[in-house]
Amino acid sequence: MSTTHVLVLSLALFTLGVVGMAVRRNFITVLMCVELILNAANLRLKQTVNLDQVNVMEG
Amino acid sequence: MTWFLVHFAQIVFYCLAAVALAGAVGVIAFRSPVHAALSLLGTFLAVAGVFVLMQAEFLAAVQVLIYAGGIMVLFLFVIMLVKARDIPDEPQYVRRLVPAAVILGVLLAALVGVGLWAASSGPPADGAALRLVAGAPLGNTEAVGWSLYRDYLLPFEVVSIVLLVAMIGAIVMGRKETGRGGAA
Repeated sequence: MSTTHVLVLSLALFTLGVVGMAVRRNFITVLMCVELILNAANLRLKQTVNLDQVNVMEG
Repeated sequence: MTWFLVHFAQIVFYCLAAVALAGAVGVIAFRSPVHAALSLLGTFLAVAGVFVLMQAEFLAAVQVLIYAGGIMVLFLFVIMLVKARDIPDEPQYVRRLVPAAVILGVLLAALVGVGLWAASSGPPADGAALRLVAGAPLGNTEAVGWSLYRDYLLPFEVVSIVLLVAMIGAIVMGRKETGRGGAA
């Protein structure tokens, strides 16, 4: 599982969330799409921390 | 068999990613909000599994407890409460906006992708908090606690005050609603 895999997964979740927010009119479903975006952001943040830890160990 | 063992993490990641994406598509595709919420639950659990693969066990536990537990219950409660009053169906003009929404989403994804590429090709971000922790072999929970209660103590407390204000506001608004509407 490389960095790129996680980033692509995060990007896909984010995109699906944004598309859902634009497409759906149901208020609750829009909130669920916001949760999708937040999850994508969490994944991305965790991956960045992992990268940084690798840099710390190397440097 | 050896190949399977070597690529075990990769295979698990692909399965989890497929579940997460299928759940995300289900959130958008399902017409019923209850089905969408259950689909979202699948995405939450799959993302928790990805966190485990990334050696973030604490995050995975929090993901299951707060997202799959708390937020899902909140969604289901709201769905059941709102369902009593019938929400009008989607207006027709939304249908025409679907292509525009898809195009905008693809454009946004491309933008974010370019941003990620630019960020990954540049110098790495400064991780002062983690460098502080990296000296000693600390666990996930310790690392989270260190950065949360040492480096980011003030934002943490500000966020808790904001949440408290939001909670009080929700209670006040809810009370006003029932007072106007009479006995439910």
